Amino acid sequence: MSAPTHYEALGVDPGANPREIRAAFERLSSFFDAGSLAVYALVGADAREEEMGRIREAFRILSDPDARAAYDESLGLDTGEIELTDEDILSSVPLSDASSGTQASPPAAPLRGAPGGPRAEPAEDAASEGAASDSVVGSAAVASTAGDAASAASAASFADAAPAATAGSPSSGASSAGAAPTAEAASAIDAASLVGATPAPSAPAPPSAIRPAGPSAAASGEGAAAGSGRGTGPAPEAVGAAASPQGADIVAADAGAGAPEPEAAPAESDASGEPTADPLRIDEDTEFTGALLRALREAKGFTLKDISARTRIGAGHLHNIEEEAFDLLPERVFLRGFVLSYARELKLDATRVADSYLRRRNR
Amino acid sequence: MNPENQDPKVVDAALPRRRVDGRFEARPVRVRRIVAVGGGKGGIGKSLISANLGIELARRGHSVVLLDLDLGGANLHTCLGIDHPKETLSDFVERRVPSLERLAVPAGVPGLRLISGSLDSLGAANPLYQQKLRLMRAVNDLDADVAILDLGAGSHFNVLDFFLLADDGVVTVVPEPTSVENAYRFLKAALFRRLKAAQAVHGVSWGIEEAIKAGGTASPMQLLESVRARDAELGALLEREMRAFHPRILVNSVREAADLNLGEGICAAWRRFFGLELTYLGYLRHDPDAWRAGRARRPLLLERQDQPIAEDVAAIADKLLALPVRRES
Repeated sequence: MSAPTHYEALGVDPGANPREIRAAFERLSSFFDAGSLAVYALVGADAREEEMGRIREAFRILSDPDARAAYDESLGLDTGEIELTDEDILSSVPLSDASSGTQASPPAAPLRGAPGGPRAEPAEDAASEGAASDSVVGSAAVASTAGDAASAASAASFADAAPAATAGSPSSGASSAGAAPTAEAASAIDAASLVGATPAPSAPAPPSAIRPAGPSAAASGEGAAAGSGRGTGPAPEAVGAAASPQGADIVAADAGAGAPEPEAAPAESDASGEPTADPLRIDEDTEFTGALLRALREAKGFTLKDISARTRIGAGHLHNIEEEAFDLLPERVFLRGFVLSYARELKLDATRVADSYLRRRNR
Repeated sequence: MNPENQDPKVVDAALPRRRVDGRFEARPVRVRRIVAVGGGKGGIGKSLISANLGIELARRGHSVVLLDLDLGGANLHTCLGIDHPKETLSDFVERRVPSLERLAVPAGVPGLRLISGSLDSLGAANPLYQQKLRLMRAVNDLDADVAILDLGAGSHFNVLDFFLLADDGVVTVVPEPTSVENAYRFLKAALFRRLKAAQAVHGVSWGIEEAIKAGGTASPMQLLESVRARDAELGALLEREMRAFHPRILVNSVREAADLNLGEGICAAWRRFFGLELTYLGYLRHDPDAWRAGRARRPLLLERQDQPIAEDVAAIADKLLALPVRRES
């Protein structure tokens, strides 16, 4: 096994802000420090101390802006500043809390607090995420009108509670084969497991968080897309790129996880048109090719720039990943880091995607 | 309303037809989800958790069968506040009763049934191999949405086999060093039991057991490497088995804020040091009155629905039901 990057050592995205990095460091330290019950009798003191050394070193580098910039450069990451205004932080945090309050799951939230907390995102990205979910919010509406509010809620609460927990493999063959294209209970649940499989310690901010208010909300998908500065509306894209059922599940997870509030979903489903018809299919044997990653990205309405802004991986690298231009891509260990981050942004089981993708490189 | 009932995950038509009492049933029946509650250490609330989880799921409209597989010390009926059923698993194991279904008795909540372990027969605590296989098949064929197996303490291979039979193998831990130690031991034992079973089918002379002997305290991934170095095909097989080994963990008796992170910490440690998956299901707050409810022979969840622990059980049920069921053919 190759040595993890500092980002992997802390379990954060390359785009993580200083607050997230500190939170991850404190969390991991509490898990792996000498007195921690979580590692009691699991491994020898040497192995534990070695891991703590890795974590400390990662934090030392990543918490120092200059050292981090140099390190990023060595990884081939974009070294642009991370822009995060106070407004972004303020707008994302309370809304996330509010959405967890609307869940049907028991009000255990205060005690259950997920470490890492809600993740603050640049407004532009959050808006595009909102747009992506708008394009498929119709399928979530199908689920709730079918009387499956309970399942949607449980999917939502699962996604919410899942930051560190890893869900099973992203999909069982039987379930994806049996799932109808409409987001029914099973698909919503499967999709939730995909969300849960994201190892990033931050729950995705609800797509509804930065949805345009007032009249523009009625305009739905296209409106939001225009607001985020992208020409193409996400809905047509999703229909065009998507080819089989599971893609709908994935996207439906976003919609389901982010939109437990019933009044939002039906209103937007009217404007966003038909639910995604023939989405991308992912089962146990799926090979994650560059083309599939692109199709999944487009189905979610993300541009390369969106992904780049969040992962701080250059758009050129991302393009080369999708093109499978392995000659132009960096060393295996760095490429793996890129693919992991990319897959996380798509809410996929990152490890599985990276393993599958890198097998293609080896051929 | 009930996601499990509309769930297309298990396609009945694809399953083999099933014989009951010597006759084929028109429609094959198979339990949808098998949950095993284990954890290595005794007295950490496995039976209490099984009973309360069963009640919670039954209340949500699932048909649930609780199996008391603590064959040497069955007391799930006491947790449920019902009398010890006359017929128990030993009657099935020793073929005095033809099917498991006949042993299932109502357990106080509509939709919830109990199959009790045996108290009487000494030999039943450790059934013979053939008896165990028959019992495992019968568990698979139960007519229920969810079967919850309340396992005995320890890491005996009979306990492990039922743990591995489950879709959701749940390891229970309480925030104490001895319990954490036993939980890790239990997890490792279950993993190696699984690897050995896979390997037995494969047929090898030098495999995981030899690697363990040679490697001492090596981590599972290091052992895998040493197997792979000698036999690439077996290495690939064992790696698949390792990746498919995906237990759950549940923390019971949480008393203070520091304990809240224990479950996630264990998952993070298991993942980081062993490179293996472990899903955190949630925790149950310490309930000082649990023993009182037990003494009154009333299950906690029936007695005190407004208590925090009821929320915890509900959260665990939510999370459990959201996990996909993966069946190997």
